[in-house]
Amino acid sequence: MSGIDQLGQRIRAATPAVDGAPPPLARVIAAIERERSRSWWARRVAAGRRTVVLALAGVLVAGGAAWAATALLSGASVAPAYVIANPGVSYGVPITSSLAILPIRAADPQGGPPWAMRVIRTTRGLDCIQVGRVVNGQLGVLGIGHAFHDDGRFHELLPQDSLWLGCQPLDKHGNVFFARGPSVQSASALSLAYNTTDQVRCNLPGFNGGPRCPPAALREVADGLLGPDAKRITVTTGGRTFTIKPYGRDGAYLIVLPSPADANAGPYGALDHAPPDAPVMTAYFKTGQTCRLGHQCPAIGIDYASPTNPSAAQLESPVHVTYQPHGTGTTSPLLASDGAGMVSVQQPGVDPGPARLTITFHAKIAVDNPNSFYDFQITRSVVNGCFGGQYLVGDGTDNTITAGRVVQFTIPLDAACHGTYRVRVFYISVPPGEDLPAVNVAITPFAGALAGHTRTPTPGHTVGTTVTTIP
Amino acid sequence: MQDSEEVAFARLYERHSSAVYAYARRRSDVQVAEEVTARVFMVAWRRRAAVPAEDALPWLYGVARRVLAEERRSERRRRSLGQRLRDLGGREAEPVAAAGDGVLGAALARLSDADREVLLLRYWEDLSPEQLVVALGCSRSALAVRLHRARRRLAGALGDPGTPVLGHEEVGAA
Repeated sequence: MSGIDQLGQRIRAATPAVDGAPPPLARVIAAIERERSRSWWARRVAAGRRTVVLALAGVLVAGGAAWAATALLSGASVAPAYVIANPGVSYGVPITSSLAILPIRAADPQGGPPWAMRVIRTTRGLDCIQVGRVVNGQLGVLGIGHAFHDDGRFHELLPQDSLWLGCQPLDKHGNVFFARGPSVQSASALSLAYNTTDQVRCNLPGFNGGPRCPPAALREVADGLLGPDAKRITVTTGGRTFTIKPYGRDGAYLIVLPSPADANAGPYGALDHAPPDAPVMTAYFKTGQTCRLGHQCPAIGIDYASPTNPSAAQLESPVHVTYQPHGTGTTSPLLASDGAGMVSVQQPGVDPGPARLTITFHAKIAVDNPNSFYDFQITRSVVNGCFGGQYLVGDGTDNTITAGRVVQFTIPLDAACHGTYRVRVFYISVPPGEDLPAVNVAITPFAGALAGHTRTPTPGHTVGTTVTTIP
Repeated sequence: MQDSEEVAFARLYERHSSAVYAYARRRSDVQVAEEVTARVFMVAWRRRAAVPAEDALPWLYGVARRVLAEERRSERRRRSLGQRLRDLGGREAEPVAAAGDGVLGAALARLSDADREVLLLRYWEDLSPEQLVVALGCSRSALAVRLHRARRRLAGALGDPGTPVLGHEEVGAA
């Protein structure tokens, strides 16, 4: 035996025994879900992200590294590879008349083009915030801070990119409330949210779990809309406090601060790191109420329409289930209309596979806003080799549905997944701006991935149930 | 059939959570090990596009290493000022629980974090050089140097001049 082996063997022989066990998967999933469901819309955005992939089209390489607001070359636009063209699907499409940049600016701590924002209204009754830096009256991002390969150019943000920056539904009077707290963002203004971190290529060495940007390439940014009752915001950071006045009827605010020194110290790169000395931003309202931005802020001064609460008679419709042991092998789109009044929903991110279950029903109640949807849940036998657990819950429809249309869900199955399937189709109308714990638990896509998951929630209003046996 | 992201994640957890927990447990107490395991897989979910499909464990170890380091930093921040002042008086090596070999444990404790980690990943987690490259985020050549130096320093810390590995490796590396 060589000396190398002797030393290695000695270390190996001293490997401590391990007691205890990893936490159950359910605990990890619950933690992930807590992150994802900070607001209802965060969950919807996360779901939508599966099919909407931001790409940096035709990035111009090279260019002047030294840039200035007055002489900034223009590069390619930041363009999404996938654009929702159907005004009735997902977030809808931007309304042309709502693209103006708000007349508020926030200076960047290191100079250069100021930060600004616009609010984009969509055809599905949402207001979406878009933040960027302004050059020659255009909103965009800069090729700095490891974004766009540091090309030093200005890249215009297109309105479609609002999909990435969060949306909220309007209330009965056209007001919106979106109280976002400070978060670490790229100095380029390219959002680090929703996996666009892949576009900001910070390469500090030693960490392979995510991008890790130097503090100079980061900013602490807060933006949002506090509605017509917003009065002022106080910001306490670095031992001093200042006040800003929200702008206009929407109560818009945009705050840009230097990055905390240790913003890149976390194991997640720049994301999700909440240093103990994070700025405290408190909103004050005409009603005398206050709330801390980034924490649970109730929608003050907002009057949401009551969620639809249909009767059983209004909703009930026969549910039909068919089983195909051999699929076509083609991948269905996330959502498609066949022109004959049928909407087909392929559960996102899942290939149809060789076998599939198809659930079909008539939607007697129309879905005309993003807060309402149809979904299904399945309870089935436990079968060896059939992965996915005893309970399956869908991600729900994500589109406008007129009354009387046929809705179809397709669920891929492992070949071993035979047995009895109890199917329930339900309808949910969610109060805008609210978290509904029961709903969040019930519709978690992880429910289907949890072997031994024992929860059997029955969310929403039942459309119909059926039982089928897969041989 | 191609798995959904959620099912793939569940499988990833089923396959590797015990190893990640064991990694953390060998370096911390049960409570911290559970927390670190959960956080590692939260990162894995957020960064699921980056998780290697073929051999995810080294990547997970790399994340675990960072999460554990962050946990230790947080713990240090939580300590009292007095404790921190005492720390300034001289760094006391944190004990390394080497089963049945107190001399080795003491020697490992005297190594730098980087030296100790490369050795423990190699021999406790039984990673191959290829896997170590992924877990440590370094090049193959840098790994060879790190491993060589860590072995040399450990042998020195063990105070065992008869360990032949030192001379052989230095000659080989020169």
